[in-house]
This record gives sequence, C-alpha cells and structure tokens, in this order.
Amino acid sequence: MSGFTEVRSIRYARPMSPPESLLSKLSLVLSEIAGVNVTLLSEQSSPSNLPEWDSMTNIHFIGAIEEEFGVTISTADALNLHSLGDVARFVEAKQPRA
Amino acid sequence: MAPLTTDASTRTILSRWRSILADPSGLRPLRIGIAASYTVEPLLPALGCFLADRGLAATFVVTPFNQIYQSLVDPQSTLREAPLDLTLVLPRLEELCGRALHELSTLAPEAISTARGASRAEVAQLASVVASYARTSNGPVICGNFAKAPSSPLGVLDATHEASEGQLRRELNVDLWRSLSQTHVITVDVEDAVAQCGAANAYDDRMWHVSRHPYSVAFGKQLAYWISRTIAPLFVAPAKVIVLDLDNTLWGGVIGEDGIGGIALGDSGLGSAYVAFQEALLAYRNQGVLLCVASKNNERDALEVFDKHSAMRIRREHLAAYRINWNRKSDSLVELSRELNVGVDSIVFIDDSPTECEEVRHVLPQVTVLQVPSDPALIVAALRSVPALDRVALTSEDRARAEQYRIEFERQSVAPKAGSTARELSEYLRSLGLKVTVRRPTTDESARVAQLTQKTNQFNLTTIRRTEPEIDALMSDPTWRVFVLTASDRFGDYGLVGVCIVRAAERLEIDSFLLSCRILGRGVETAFLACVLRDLSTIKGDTVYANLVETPKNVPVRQFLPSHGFAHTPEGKWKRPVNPESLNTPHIEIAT
Repeated sequence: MSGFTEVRSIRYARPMSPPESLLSKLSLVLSEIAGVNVTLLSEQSSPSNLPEWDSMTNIHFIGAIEEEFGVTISTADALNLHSLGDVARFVEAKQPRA
Repeated sequence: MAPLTTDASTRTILSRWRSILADPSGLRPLRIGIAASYTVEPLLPALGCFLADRGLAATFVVTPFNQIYQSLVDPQSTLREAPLDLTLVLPRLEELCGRALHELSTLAPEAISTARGASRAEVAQLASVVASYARTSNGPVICGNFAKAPSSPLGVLDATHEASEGQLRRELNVDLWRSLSQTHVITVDVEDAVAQCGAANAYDDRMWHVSRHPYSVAFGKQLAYWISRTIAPLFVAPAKVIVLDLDNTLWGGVIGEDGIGGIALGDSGLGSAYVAFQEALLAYRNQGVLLCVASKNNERDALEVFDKHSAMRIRREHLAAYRINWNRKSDSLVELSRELNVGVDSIVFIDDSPTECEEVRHVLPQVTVLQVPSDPALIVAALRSVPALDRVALTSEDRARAEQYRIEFERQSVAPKAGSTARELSEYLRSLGLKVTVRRPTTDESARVAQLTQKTNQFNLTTIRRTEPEIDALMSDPTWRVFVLTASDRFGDYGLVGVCIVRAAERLEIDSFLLSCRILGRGVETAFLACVLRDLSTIKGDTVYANLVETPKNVPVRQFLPSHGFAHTPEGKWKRPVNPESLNTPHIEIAT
C-alpha cells in the first residue's frame, strides 16, 4: 500500500506544481488516447470535466503512461489519479532520477 | 502506411484507430458482434487496426460482459438488431465455470467429481448455444477456447492431483473443439495465443480488479492480432501461390557457382534449416497453395537440384510452374500469374535479395513480398507469420488443387511437342487411356454445374450463365435434359468437366454445351456429343438444333458445330440428324 500512501501525501500534503515539460508530454499522450485537442487540456483536466476521459480512455491512458514513462502503476495508484496534475506529480515522483 | 506490429505503442494504436474511424474509405465495412465473459473493449482499437491492415473497416457491437448465453439466445439481443458480418464469442473458464472451479479447490472427493461433471456440462451447453446461434445468424461465428490461467490454487500440486484445474481445462478444450468441429463455428485459439506470450505475461490482475478485463496491455495487442488473423481469411481471399527464389532461399549457396554438391541442403547445420523450410512450404501446398519458382539461373542447373539432390524435399512434380531465366522477377511473376490464371494479388513472393524484393514491391505492389531472414534458421517462423497465407477452412477442392497440378505435370511430360505429326498426336491421345462418363447430374452436383456455367469462357457454345437454383429447376423440369461429363485418364481424375443442357420441347435444341479448359484438346467433346445424341435418340424428333453465340473468348468452340456435322439453318442456327453413329472417338472409352 506504499503507493497509495505516497499519492495521498502528494495530493493533500504537498500540492506542488508538476514540471511544465512533463505536463505537456502527458497532455500530448492523453490527447492522442482520448481524441481531444491538446490545447483543451490542463493540470485540472479530469474525468469529471472532460467527457472524453471515460473509463475506457482511463484504461488505455494508464497503459500508455506505463509504456511511455517506464513506471509501474499499482491498483491503488490507478484509483487515485484524479486529474492530469495528479498523474504528472505521480510520474514525477516515480520516474528514476537522471 | 506500414502494417501495425504487436509491439506498437498504445498511443500509436489509439491514434491510428481514431483516424481509421474518421476515414474508413477504401476499406470493406465489417460489422462484428462480440459476446465475451469479460470486458472486451480494451482489445478493440488494436483489433480494428489489425483488420484495417487487411482491408477491413470494423465496427463493433458489444453485448454486456459475462452475458454470453443471454446475448446469443435472446431474440431482442443487440446481436440481432442489425445484420452482422461476423460474431465473435470469447468465453473464459473462470467466468463460465467459476463455481465449479471453486468447488474443485475444496479438494473434497465428491466435490471434485461433481465439479468436473458440471464443467463438462457447461462447456457442452456453450457449444450447443453457439452452434444454434450460428445456424440462424448472419455471417460466420468464431468462438475462443480456454487459455491457461497464470497460476493455480494448487500450485505445483496441480500437475499431479485429481483436482487439477490445468488438466480439466485441457479436457474441456478437447470437448469444445470436438463439439464445434461438427458445426460451421470457427475456433480462435486463445489458448495458443496465451501460450505464445507466456501466461505470466498475458494477464494483468490490476486490470481485472479495476475493469474486469483480464489481460495485460502487451498481450491484448497479441490477442487482437491473433483474432484478426482468424477473421481476415473469412473476408479476404487468401494467397493462392507461393513463388520462390532458389539460391539462398530454397537452399544455401549459389547453384551456378557451388554446384549440386556444394549447396547447403541436408541433415544438419545450415542445410537442415533449408530442409525445414521446404517441409513448411509443402505443408502449405497440402492446404491448396501452389508452389512456383522464379529464379535467375540456368534452367538446367536449377532443375537438376530438384531432380537429383537427395535432400530436396520439394521435387519438380511439386511445382505448379516455374520461370528460371534472366528476366526481371516482376516479369516472371506476371507470366506465372497468367499461366496459372490467378491474380498477382494472390501471390506471395519469397526471395533473399533485398534488390529483387524491392523490384517486385515497386512494380507489383499487390504482391505480398517476404524477404527471407539472413539466418536460415528463422525462415520457417517468417513464412508462418505471413497472414496472407492463413486459411480457416479448407474445401475438398483446396486439398485436391496441388495434386491436380502434379497430375497435369505428369501428363505434360509425355505430351508431344509443338510440330508433332498427326500420328504422334493420336498416339499420345491413345496413350492417355481416356475414360468418360456422360450422365444426368445428381442433386448435390448442381453447385458444380452452375459453377461451370459461370466460369467457362473458352469452350462454351452459348455462354449462358446459370445459378444453382436455376440448374435445380432445369433438372426437375421434364422439358429439359441436363447432362454432365466426368473424365479420367491413366494419370488421374479430371472430375466433372463438361455440361450439356438440352431443351426437349417442340423440338430438340442444345441450349448449352461447355467443357472445362482442363480437358480441352483431347477429343472429349466428340464423345460427349455422341453420348448426348444417343440419349436424345430415345425420344421424339430426328433433328437436333444448336446455337453458337460468339464472345471474344470462345474462339476454341467456333469450329465445333461445323466439324461435327451441323449445318446452317435459314434462321441463323445450326442443325444435324440426331443419329450419333457418325461420331467416332476410338481413343476414348465410354463408360455407361
């Protein structure tokens, strides 16, 4: 459950802004998966305000994040990624440091 | 666009699927209904892309997950709403027999036998529901079998214990295969797809818990690919011909330089890889794919290998045709396609040379080109990965096709060369030992009769095309007589190769008279006419009328009427006495 705790702490304790480049790359991936114009996506984009981000898009998006960023998303993590900003902060925390 | 591969990224697949959906022009629409025991939607973008690579624009009608029976049985099911081109049924044992599998894991002896019985009954019911759906559905039905689970409750004990889930699954797959093989339902081998990927990689329990989809992203693409290879041959005609290069393709080395003793072909090492490739090619030949050669070589050097090398598996008699010369490969392919009367789009061309492959790709983009891997050990796998060669059902005609070409090859080997004397020709005809039978067709032959009226262009007096129901109607109408001719010679059977249809109303009139090009040039038409006239002489009338309708293609039949005693009539038709005695064919034995 470490992933679960970690995401909670990121979301509620340290809501830092994710790096701009990571957010824009994730936006590009999501735009391809969901079929929406990338300019409509922001840190706040979420399944609740983006109709194209439905449950099937979410499955493909999670698969694509794993493929593109080389991270593993646990079941608990997957259930806690509520917005594009959440995803960016998660990937930022998980990605191996260069 | 290059065909999608199973290692394409999810991004690539989703983008491509979106563009196919936005513009499916040039693709054949294919409406696929799916009933699965799990959430199948994550597979669909990849399946859609792989089908688009085969020229098919798929749209999907998916029924709610784990409602296979309801979806197939219910007349109000969405599967019945719009006509489907295909229905895909994807059950998993975990859902279909979940309770029984649970019982099995209790290890109580009576529970084990109850669970095994219940599972087998469940699979029997599945097969029966799918089969009865298939009898009334529009389009073919494909059903998946049961794949190995990633792990078993018994662990290593599963291999030995009578409560073995693995063993039960194997038995149920045999049951399912037995039941479905009695029907027209086609099986897609999900078990094999999982085995190829490895069960440890095929499943993703996270997906299961979140969305009731059991498979990993990576395996989803492979399963979609495998399903597409089962679907496509039902709607896209499979390749009919494999055209092979020789040097460094069918054997190692160059025959013109290394000589028959120097090429790599034999029981071990590199030579053994080429033998394996030849055996894999012969397996396709058994499915009805014709084998041909297009090679830049001296014909005599190359043919000597087929005739004399002890390790050759493909012999000259296995080749339907060959072009061994110094012409461009694309020219040879066009010539072969004309000789065999197949389109170049039904050719798979196999060569080791990147230059030759590129030349063919450039000049004949319809040809499927396989450049053999530089390591010959990889050739068999490369050959079997060519989707154009896939077949999901074989007709008896498919299985017989290659054999007919072999028989024809033997016939040709004794045929007199051009410029032979009349005496040599008649000796050749005598040596064939031709036997013909002329009779009324049986009811199950009306499809073949209709096919001959549709396909025969050359030796066809009137080129009247008829459908199977039309032939059936003529066969049961007393004012018409339908005759068929079957023939054989000492080399083998020609099968049903002639049709004559006579209208016997106010007068006797030959409405259709045709022979397959397979049998032309052997004097069979004279024997056919004699037999027909003998039959007609038993009924009223002493004159028989005939009609010749000239088409650009029926040149070979134009002299038939005048050379068989027919004379012009004032109305532009032809007539002769029914009396068949004047028609002699001493080289043909007529069986009655």
